[in-house]
Amino acid sequence: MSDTVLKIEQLTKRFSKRILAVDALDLEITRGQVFGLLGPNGSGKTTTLGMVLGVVSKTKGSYSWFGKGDDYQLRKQLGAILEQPNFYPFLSARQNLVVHGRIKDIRKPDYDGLLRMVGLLERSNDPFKTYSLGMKQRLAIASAMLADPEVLIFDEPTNGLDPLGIAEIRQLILDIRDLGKTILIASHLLDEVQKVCSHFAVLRRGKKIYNGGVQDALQSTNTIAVGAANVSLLRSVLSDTRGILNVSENPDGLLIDVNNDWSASSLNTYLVEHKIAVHYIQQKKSSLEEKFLEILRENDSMISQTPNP
Amino acid sequence: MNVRKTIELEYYKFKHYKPFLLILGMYVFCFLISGISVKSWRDWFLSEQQDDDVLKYFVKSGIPLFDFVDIWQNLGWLATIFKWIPAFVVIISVTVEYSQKTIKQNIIDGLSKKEFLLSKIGLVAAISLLSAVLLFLLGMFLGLLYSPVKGMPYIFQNIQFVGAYGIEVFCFLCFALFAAFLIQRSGVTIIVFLLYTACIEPIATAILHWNFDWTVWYFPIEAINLIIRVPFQKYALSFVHDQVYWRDIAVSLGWATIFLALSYWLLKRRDL
Repeated sequence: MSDTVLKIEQLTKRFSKRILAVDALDLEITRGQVFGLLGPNGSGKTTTLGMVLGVVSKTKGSYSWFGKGDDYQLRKQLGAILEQPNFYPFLSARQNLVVHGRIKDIRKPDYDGLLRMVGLLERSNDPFKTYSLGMKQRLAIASAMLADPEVLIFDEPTNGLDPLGIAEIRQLILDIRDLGKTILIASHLLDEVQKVCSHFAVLRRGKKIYNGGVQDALQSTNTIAVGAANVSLLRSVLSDTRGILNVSENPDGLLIDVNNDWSASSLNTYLVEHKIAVHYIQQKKSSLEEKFLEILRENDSMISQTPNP
Repeated sequence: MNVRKTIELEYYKFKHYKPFLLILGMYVFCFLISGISVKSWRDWFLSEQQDDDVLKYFVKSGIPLFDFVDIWQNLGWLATIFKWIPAFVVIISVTVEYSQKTIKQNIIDGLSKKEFLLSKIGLVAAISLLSAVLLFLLGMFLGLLYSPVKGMPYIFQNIQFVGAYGIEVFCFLCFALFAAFLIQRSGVTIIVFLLYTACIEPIATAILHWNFDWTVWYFPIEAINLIIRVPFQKYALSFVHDQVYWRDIAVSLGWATIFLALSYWLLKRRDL
């Protein structure tokens, strides 16, 4: 079996003459990745997932699951939720899972185990319409896990949940990741992607504008935040030091841009030698949010430089 | 493609859905009570009339409602009134999948659109079969109770009306299925369906027939309603339709095929 789980080539969706939702998208997801599909609202994330899941017809291009094409039978090996959890409101959690299990042709599903995993066992015989949004979302995850699929697809899994619900869903996703599954998450919450994903791609107006590993995007920067009781002394000491490029104010103290000779620990040692006790020192890491905004900015400036045909 | 799977799926989906079961129960109840109460209605009618009334004499002597041979067409025609009730069941079973977006989740889970349509056709076929079986049971019950002739050859003569009733219901429900796939919202679908089947087409065909001298047997609802023709003229006039005509069956099944094909086309073409 090949390691490629999903391969998308030149996938395009045109809803009308004016609306081009997905524009010649290429994407490849390999086994074991936790892949985040990022983008602002309306950038084509859900449409892309809709196409590879067979509910939105594609205008052009192709996609292939497990290197075997786009036959509907292959979807039985996926666990996917698009947007809201969609279940029969008059059926209980268990009865809903029975319907899903029948569609996926599962011989002996472990309903109790799944319901316990998502914490719905006690409420499993109540109708779905009596559930809170968090419970609905958890049932959706249980149904996605039903076939013990190799690949899970979540679209905005924490949308509309309260902080506790968000934490629960995130923990569930991390648990699933630890089982060694391949996960594809579409989200506009960068923090979420940063916490759970290994790779990510950024969509903008249906085009892919970035694709890479999360760790690569989050390289350490050469900025160190320092806090000390005597800020003016700190500033005067630093202004005489070689290798300090820039010093700026910050609520915690000072933000210092340094060259590659410096690190947080060497700077700390240096300051102690100069009789300055710091109460706070940290090497800054760039967040995915900054990276994301930077990517979007670069993309925007590229677009504005390209003359319109 | 797995036919048994699609039928099982429909069973799992709706066996706990109360409105669904309620409407189906209503259908069975109306069906049985109407047949059983005809006798009482007749007796009441007779007791209210004056002795010298011509109509009473006529009803008393001339209408063998529950006599074997005649009973199948009489009951079959009576029961066609109720075919609108299961049509609502079919409409709800499709529109609820759209309103709850469960059709979308079904497809995502790995059902093909063809299998989805097949599961709904399975429901239509099951209701049609149930209707034919009900008609058979009711006819046997009332016939054995009231019919003066009870010989084997008489009982099963004209039994084709039971099958014809099943086909009539099937074709009618196929139209309901198409309406549901076309409109997707339960309220609007039911109103449009009622308007078309009970008002628009009957009025249109009547106007076309009487004012413009069209032959109108190829219209869908007209053809479906013609399968079991009004039996009662035979008791007053000499001109009778006491059989099922292949032309009506063929036209109705033709329309059913068209409705199912259109449903599939709509399902295939639209994004969910």
